[in-house]
Amino acid sequence: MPNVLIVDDSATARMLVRRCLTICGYRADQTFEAEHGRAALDQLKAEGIDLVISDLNMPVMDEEELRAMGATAVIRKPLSPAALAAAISRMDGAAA
Amino acid sequence: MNAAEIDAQIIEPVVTEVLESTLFLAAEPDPSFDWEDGSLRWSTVDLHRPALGALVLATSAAEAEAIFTMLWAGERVADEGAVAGMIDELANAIAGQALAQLDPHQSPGLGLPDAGRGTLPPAAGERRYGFRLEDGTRLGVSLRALV
Repeated sequence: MPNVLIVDDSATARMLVRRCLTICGYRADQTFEAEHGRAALDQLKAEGIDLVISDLNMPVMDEEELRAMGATAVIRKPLSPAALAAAISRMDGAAA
Repeated sequence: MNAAEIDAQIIEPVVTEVLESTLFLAAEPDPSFDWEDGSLRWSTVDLHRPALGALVLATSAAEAEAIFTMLWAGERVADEGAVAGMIDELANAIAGQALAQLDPHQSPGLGLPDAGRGTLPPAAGERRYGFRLEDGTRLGVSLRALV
């Protein structure tokens, strides 16, 4: 399974995504967190991140900037494990 | 469209779905929510597109703390800022879903949540909805027109 970076200014939102990933079978050491886009860029350089799940409505870096970086799938909150797993699967298929 | 025109057919399923999927508790409409409770903790999210106005999610301080403790399962201490952040996130999810229901083809436009506390006096052009979780916790949602 890929290493996943969760980007959201809300600690509650990050926890909810982490909870979905755990239900999907991800281990704690496969998930990383950042509070905003700039911190996410630092994490991307430092960690072996394969997939980024980011909020689109945040201070510091907004939806427009994130989309310009290549966001490819949009899932509406609240996330469900099934929706998250389906989106990751679609992205895996597209990348293959 | 004015946010206060978002009716029960839209907002009630959205709120119950967000609460149930986030808290794993059934929720149902309950108009008895006390908006005059001085201990209220609330979060306001400005709505920009496709409806204009604001959405406010509120609950009492004690119930906000209880929701936080249940949601985080002891992983995090329920201090004032953390609880406010949780209400912000729930309000954000409800607002985003409500806007998406109005126009599924348009990306919802909404502001960042803004936390507050204390009573919420009625506002002009406002619709209020109450909800109760199966454990008895009550929450209120206000949809306010742009004035």
